[in-house]
Amino acid sequence: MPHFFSNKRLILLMVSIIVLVSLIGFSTRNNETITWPEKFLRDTTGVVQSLVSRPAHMTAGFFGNVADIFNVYEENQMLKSRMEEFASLSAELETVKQENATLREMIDSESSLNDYTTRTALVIHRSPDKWTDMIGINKGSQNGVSKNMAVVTSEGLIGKVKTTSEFTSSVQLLSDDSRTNRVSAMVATDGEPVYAFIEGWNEEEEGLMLRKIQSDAEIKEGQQVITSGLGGLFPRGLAIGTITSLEPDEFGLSYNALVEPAADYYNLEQVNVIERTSETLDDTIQQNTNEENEEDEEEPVEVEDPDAGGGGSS
Amino acid sequence: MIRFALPFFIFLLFLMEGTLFQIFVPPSPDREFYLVPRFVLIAVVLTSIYRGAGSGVLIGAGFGLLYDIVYTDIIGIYMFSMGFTAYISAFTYRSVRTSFLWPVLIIISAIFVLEWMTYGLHYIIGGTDLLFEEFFMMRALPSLIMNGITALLLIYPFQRLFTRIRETEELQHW
Repeated sequence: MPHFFSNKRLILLMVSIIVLVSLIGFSTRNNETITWPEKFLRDTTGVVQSLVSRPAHMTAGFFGNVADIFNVYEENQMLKSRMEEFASLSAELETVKQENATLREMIDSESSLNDYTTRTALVIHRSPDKWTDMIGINKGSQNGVSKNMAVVTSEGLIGKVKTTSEFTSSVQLLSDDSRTNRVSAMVATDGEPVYAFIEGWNEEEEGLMLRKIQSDAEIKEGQQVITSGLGGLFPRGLAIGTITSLEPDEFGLSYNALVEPAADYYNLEQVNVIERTSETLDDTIQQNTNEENEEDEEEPVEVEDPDAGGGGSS
Repeated sequence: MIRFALPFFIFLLFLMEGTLFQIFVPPSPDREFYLVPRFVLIAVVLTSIYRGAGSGVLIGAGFGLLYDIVYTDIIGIYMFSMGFTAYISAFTYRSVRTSFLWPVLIIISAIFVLEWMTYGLHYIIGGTDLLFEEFFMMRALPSLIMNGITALLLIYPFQRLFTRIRETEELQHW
C-alpha cells in the first residue's frame, strides 16, 4: 500500500463505501424476487456447479460407503429389530389411511393440507462462509419451484426456498440464523394440536428453537414437532424434530422449547422440493388440481397424521 | 488465450469453495469451529502482488460480486471487502515477488483482514451477534490455518502462471 492516503485514493474509498452501503440497502430491502443479472449469473454458475457436483457427490458417496462397510453388522442387527416394528406400523398406517379416506368421503372433502407433490433436486452448492446457512439446488422457476416452498430430505423438513432463478434456487435451511427464518409448526399431542413457530437455530444448545407455545399447552419432552400447514406453501405433517427441553420464556407468558432436528442438515445430496396441492378453498380449483394430479401420475402422498383436520380452535 | 487462464483458474477455485469443499469437508455439528475456504482470496492476493493493484482490485471486486450473488443474499459485502483486501495487499516489490515466504505472510494477513471485515459488516447490518473473541476462536483462527496451508500449495502454480502470462505479453509487445 505505497500511496494509500493520497487524496484521489481517499475519494475513491469514500465512493466505494457509498456504493457498498447502497448495494447492501438495495439487497436487504424486502424483496420478492431477484433481478435478472443476478438470475443470469446464478443460472450460468449453476450449470457448471451441477456438472461438478454430480461426480463429486458420487466420489464422496463412494468413500462414505467404504467407511460404512465397517459397521454393517451392527446396523444390520438394529435394522432387523426395527423391521418387525415397521411391518406392524405399516399395517396400521394402511387401516388409518382407509379410515381417513372413508371419513373424508363422508364430509365431501377431496383434498387436505396434507396433499403435496414432490420434485427431486440435486444440491449444487452450500454457502461457504457460514454467516448464512443456505444451499443451492438445480431446480428453478422453469421446473415449477417457487418461493417459500418446503424442502425436505427423506428424514424431514430442512428448509424453504428463499429465491429462485430460472434453473436454480437457493434454499434457506432451518438452521439459518436469519430473523425472517420462521416456520409455522405444531406439536402432535394426544389431544388438540399445539401451534407454535420454529425460529432459527440455538447456537449454544445445538437445536432448533420452537417459540410462542401457549402456556396452557400440554407439552412434554420427546413429542414430535411437525409443520402445521397454516402458513405459506407448506403442507401439513412434515417432520421437523422432537422436543428435547422446555422452558418458560422471559416474560412467563409462553413456552420456548428446544427441538432436535429429525433431518441431517450437514450431508445433503438429494433434496425434495414440496408443493402443496390443496391451495385454496375454492371447490372448482380444488377439483382441477386433483384431476391434474391423477393424469400426471404424481400421487399426492398421504402422511400419517392422527390430528389432521383437528382444526385450529385456538 | 493465456489472458483468460487466470479468471478461469480463479473460477475453478470459486467452484471448489462452494461445491467441492462443502461435499468433501461437510460442516459437522461435532465441530466447535467453522472451516471457511478462502481459495479465491488467495488467488486474488497473488494477482495483486504479481499483476499490480489495478488487476487485483478488478479481479477481487468481480469475483466478490459473483460470490455475493451466488453464495449469499446480500450484494456488496464481498465485492467491497475483496476489492479492498486486494488493494492493500498490492506489495509489488521484486523482493516480494521472487520470494516464497512473503506472499504466504501477505496472504495470511489478507485472509484475516477479509474475515474481520465480513464479520464487521455482518455485525453492523445485524446478520450476527457473535462476540469478537468467539469470532476469533471459531472462525478466524481455523480459517487462517487451513487457508495458510492451501496457500502454500497454491503459490507455486500461480507463480508459474504469472510468469507465463508475463512472457506471452512481452512476446506480443515485441
